[in-house]
Amino acid sequence: MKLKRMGATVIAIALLAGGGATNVTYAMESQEQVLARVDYQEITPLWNSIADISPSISAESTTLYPEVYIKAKSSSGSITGTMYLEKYAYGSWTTVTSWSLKGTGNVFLSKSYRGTSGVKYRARVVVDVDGENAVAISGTCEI
Amino acid sequence: MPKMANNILKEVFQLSLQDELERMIKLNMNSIIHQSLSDEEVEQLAIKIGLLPSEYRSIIFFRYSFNNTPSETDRILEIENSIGKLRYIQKMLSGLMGINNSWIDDNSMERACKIAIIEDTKDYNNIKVLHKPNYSKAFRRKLKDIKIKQNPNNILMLLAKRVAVFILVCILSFSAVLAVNAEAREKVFEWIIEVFEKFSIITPQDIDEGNNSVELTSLKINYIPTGFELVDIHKGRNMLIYNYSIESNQEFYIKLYSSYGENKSYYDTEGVEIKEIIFKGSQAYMWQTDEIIYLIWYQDGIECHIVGNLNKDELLKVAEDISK
Repeated sequence: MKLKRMGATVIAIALLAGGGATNVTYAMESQEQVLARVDYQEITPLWNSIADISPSISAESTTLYPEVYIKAKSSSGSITGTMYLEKYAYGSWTTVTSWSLKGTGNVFLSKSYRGTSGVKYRARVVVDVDGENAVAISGTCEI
Repeated sequence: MPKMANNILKEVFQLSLQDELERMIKLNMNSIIHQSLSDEEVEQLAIKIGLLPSEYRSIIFFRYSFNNTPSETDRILEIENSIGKLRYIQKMLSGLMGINNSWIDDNSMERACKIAIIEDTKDYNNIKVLHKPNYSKAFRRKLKDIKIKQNPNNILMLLAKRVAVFILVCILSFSAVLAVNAEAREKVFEWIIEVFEKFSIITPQDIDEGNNSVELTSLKINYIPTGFELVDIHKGRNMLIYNYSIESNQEFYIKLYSSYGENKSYYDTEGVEIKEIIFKGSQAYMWQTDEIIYLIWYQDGIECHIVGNLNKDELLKVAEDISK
């Protein structure tokens, strides 16, 4: 009986430790989704002309690298838009700078920007593909 | 009567009983005549059995209700000389029933025990158990044989316990694997796909954190369908895109992401089913809208996407032939 109790105790401790470690990992992994979800309503529900919008952001030291690739379904699709670099401050996202984009069929835009240490950034893209509007947001990047 | 005299008398009686029991063991059972009892007499006998001391009741129940051998009875009840005591009880009960020259036969004893044991155990469910009994393995086997070990409630409880233990072990194993094995964690959380009515957002999750130095150009595209030509290459810090097309308006592109970036891909997935497949030993997703096929997978520390309006087999072949 003592052995059983000891076994049960060991299992409970291992479960708590294992579960805790997993939850920490999972909580870290799911942090971005919460932020991203706030902006989903901005997406225009039309995807007849757009095949792909891929915003991305990375950083090295205090330099930020926002990028976006946009692909129209048609190779002759007209693409225009703006990529915004936004920072998170006082509970909301504000635009730091922006770059316009334009092309046919597909557009790729890659930029760099010197940011401020300790601030969280993201790339936000507003595009128009053959009259169809959409907004897409990258993950967040803290430098 | 003085206390000392009482103790002396007690010891004398015990010695006398001991002698009687010794005699009973040596008794030639073949010389004894057995007598059957009527139903009425059996009922009377059952009442008399119920009035016996607990140890004696147990001995005859073990013999006539549970069919234990004397040695088993000795072991289970942790007593000595149960055979002598059994014969002593049989003789005593026979005497009490007014049978002086013979003993009650086994059949009558069994019938009486059957009645007595019901009476004896009728309050068992109301007994508050202060300490759980610690049965020997032999006794548990016996209980199992006569199927009184488990009532239906206990069986349900046993099943519930086993299911709980199984679930606990599964959770523990899963948690332990995720907690200690980064590779396994990547497998499970490699992609997050958020599906909306018109589109889906695909986000890689911490893909190969320890492999940041992987160059996107290290992946080589070894197969291109006949007639397709590389139209342009877009190379950034976070992604590398190869665009291919053919004169017949067919086109496809390969998009490679480095793990530097916080990447998200917004794809048209309206009205389609995103199929989860294993591709190149990793979790991958594939779907088709209109004539465009999408395939995303992960290899060599790089997130790979291929999208195009070419034949599905050809698209897969292009993807399969991408390697370092």
